[in-house]
Amino acid sequence: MNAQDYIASGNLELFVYGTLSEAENKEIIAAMEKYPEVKEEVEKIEATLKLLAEEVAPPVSTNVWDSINTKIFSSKVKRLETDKTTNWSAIIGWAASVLLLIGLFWMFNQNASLQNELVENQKENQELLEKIISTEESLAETESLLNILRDKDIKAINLPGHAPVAPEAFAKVFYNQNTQTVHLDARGLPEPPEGMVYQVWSLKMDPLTPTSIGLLDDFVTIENKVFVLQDIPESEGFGITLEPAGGSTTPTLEQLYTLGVI
Amino acid sequence: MQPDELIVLLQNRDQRAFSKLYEMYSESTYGIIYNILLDTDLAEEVLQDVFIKIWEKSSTYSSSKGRFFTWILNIARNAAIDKLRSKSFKNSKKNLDADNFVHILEDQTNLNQTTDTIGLRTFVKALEPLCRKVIDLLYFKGFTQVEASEKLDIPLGTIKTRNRNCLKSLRNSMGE
Repeated sequence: MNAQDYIASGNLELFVYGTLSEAENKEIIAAMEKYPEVKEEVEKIEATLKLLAEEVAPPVSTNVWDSINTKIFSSKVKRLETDKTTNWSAIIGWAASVLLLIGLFWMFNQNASLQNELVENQKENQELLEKIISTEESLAETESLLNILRDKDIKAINLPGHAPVAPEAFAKVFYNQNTQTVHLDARGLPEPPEGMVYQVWSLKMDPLTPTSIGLLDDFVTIENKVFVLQDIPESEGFGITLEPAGGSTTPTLEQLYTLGVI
Repeated sequence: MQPDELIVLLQNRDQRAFSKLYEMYSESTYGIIYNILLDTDLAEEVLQDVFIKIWEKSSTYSSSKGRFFTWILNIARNAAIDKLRSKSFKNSKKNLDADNFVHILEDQTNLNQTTDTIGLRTFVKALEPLCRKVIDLLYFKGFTQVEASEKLDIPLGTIKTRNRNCLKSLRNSMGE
């Protein structure tokens, strides 16, 4: 049924009269929620019927409200006043002091729990603040990295894995010849075994001359695995080898992990 | 519009909401009761009981079952009919269908004398006699369609439509 069907059915009137079955009622209520026109029609019918009923009787005397009020809201008080055999004032006094005690105890408890809550909230705030600060720091770091990568003097060099040693490994070098700086993204390297360290080499090709440009000793602790190496001699390629802690003077080629040329 | 906020407050036993709802619904409720009992003193007594019941049983009303107006209407009709069947009433006079709201409108000189009322009275009088009877039985007296059809001796299938058309013409003449 659509809205008009409901309106034309004659059931909305019976719905307001209260003479429909429970199932029919439910159906109308659902229709009212679905169709605003149906709801509006029900309200108009109701308004007409309300007006009609209001007008068929003389005005209600104000006594009615007064006596409803008395019956509902002051019946208990009345009973107290009329009963003379019991010492109500003493009972009320005792009841009041008991209530006061209960109230005080309750307030004390409330106060204690509120204070706990306050302390906990303060802790939470502190934690949130710390989180914000650390997030801001990492954002700043990421932004400065991004700026570096966008520099027009940067060359990006892929260092693919050296097949015989580490075919899955890779690294990426961002080389700025002007500032003699290298940013090394070493995320693609596995964690070095205990007592070993990655060493980064700058390569000249003709003749092949490796020069050490740095050790990645804090590889494990640096989370984003981006390393900054400075004072880089003019380079035509880069390689990374695995060396004993402290590094070596010449690269151990059996442990050459990645290698790439410009 | 249904005063949903007031109803919720009432269900939370808020006195002021109850007083407001009394203002809104007491006259119409009284109209229903009076139309059944035709006695101002008895009708006021029943009106009192009805509103005390509204206060006490407010938690049993749910908008998912019907209109608040309808809920009150049911309480009022039942209370008035109970009173009508009670011994004290039988000793005095009258029975349920002796009269209807049109006669009340015509007979009483002390009704609500607003201009609206005078207008409404004219419109009600302008209704077909059968219309008045249908509205009286279904609305004021709470008859089912079957009961009304038997009482008025008209086919059951036509009651609903006739009632709708009657109310519709009342609404139209009221300038809706």
